[in-house]
Amino acid sequence: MNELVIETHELRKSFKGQPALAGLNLQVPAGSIFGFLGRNGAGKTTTIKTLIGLLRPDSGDARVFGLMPGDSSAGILIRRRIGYVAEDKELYPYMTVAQIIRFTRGFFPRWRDDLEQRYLKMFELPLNRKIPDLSKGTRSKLVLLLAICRGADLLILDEPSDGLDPVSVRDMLRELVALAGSEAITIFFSSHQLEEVEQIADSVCIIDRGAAVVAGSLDDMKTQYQRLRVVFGEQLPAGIRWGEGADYVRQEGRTVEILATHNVEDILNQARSVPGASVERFPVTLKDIFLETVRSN
Amino acid sequence: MLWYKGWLETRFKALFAFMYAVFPVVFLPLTERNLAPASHPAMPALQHTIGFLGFYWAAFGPPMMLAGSGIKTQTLRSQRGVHSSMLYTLSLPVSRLRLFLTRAGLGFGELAAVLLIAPLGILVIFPTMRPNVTPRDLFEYWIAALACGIFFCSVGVLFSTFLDDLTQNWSSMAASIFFWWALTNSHVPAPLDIFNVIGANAPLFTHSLPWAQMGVAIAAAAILCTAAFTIVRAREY
Repeated sequence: MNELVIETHELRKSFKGQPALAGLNLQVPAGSIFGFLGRNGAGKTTTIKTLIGLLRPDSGDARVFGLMPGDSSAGILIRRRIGYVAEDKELYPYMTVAQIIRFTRGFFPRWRDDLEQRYLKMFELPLNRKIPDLSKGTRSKLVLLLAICRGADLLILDEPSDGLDPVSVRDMLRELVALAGSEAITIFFSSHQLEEVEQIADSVCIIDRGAAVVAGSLDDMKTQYQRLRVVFGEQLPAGIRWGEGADYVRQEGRTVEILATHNVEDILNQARSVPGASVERFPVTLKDIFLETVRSN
Repeated sequence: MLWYKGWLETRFKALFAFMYAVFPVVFLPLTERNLAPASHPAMPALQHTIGFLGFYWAAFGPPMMLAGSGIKTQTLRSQRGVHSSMLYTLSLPVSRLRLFLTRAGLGFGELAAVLLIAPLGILVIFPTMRPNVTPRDLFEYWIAALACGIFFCSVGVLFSTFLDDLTQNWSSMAASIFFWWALTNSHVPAPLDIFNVIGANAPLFTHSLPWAQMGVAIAAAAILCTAAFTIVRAREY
């Protein structure tokens, strides 16, 4: 079994009585590209802030590299091995690109000069320009550079592609895959862009209302999950109860859409046993899984 | 690197505080040319004037600089929008204690620099005092003003942990005025009257350091800074 870089157990956090995390269990294996998905307000950013020690959980346990981020000295050790991109990507407005690179480099002995030069060129970052004068996309690129070049073992990226144009998104995704492959870096990233996650993630967790509703290997999910469409003849049989695995069922008229999480063949046979029913099965996308799980939750 | 960041944050406002401190040195001599020498019967009036000047320098320099720190960025209090670069700072492998000490230390350092104007300014404003004060008196006056200023600076540091930039700035000034008014209008024991060290009891007149008042001012500043750090350490971002 892979070593776990991030592990949370029954993590709970509330703000003014409103639960943001409601017993989150998370396991991120070392070397994986882990997509962390959820609606706005699902608890993604709260989780990330807890992992880097900016928030303290009300109860439960969070560990990064086996250390507790809420502990002051452990938090420093953790942050020394982390590259973090915050959701808002705010940087110091009084610094130029060159100044903030020099400033950040000073905190990370394993700073990657080779990657710095590579990304400066790739992202065409203007060294002497002040940060407020950068476009949103250019600032996003700079923040990525500052995170990646830290020589980190773990990248925690909160909506990293926000503000990037499609070409830059493609370049970024390629780089992340390359980093995970060649440098054995674990990448934990949240995104609303399900297509991006599907392109590069090998594991995903869908969080809703502060708890994980689906988690696991993306390949396994795509193998196990199937979308079934059953169209009945004249009338839907009364009182039909779908077998185990038909976790997400929606009905419109004579058509029933099922997202089966397992036991697909049995559900298919059950549908086919109804006289006049026609059954189709489709491979699922991450978007299907996300929409169904979140909608049902 | 945190010092470098702090300097970039505060340099223009430190300059502003410097200009603020220079203001009376430039303008007062134009109106107060005939102020009495230190041995003149008008001595209490002179002491009062110098006390007010010392208060002006020590109490209003820090808020000016803290305002500068606050306007450019927030190292103690997170705010949404333009000041949320706080998250970037907190993602660095440094403790909150180090962040706090750097911020407060930079403020005290800039205060010390700005307060250099006080002893030099006194001589410019009151040329008749020159024969009566030695360089040692001036140095001790600077030390006394610094101890007093550190107290005010610490009030601002504490306020900056829970007030926004503008409110913090004005609140620091209001608190300074309130302390000054309260202490000068009440009969507190001499060691507690920390303003006296830059007024009637200033080393310019007594030719010795007011250790008791300085000790009280620094102890009070330490309490305020400890309270500020307790808030910063407990804060969630």
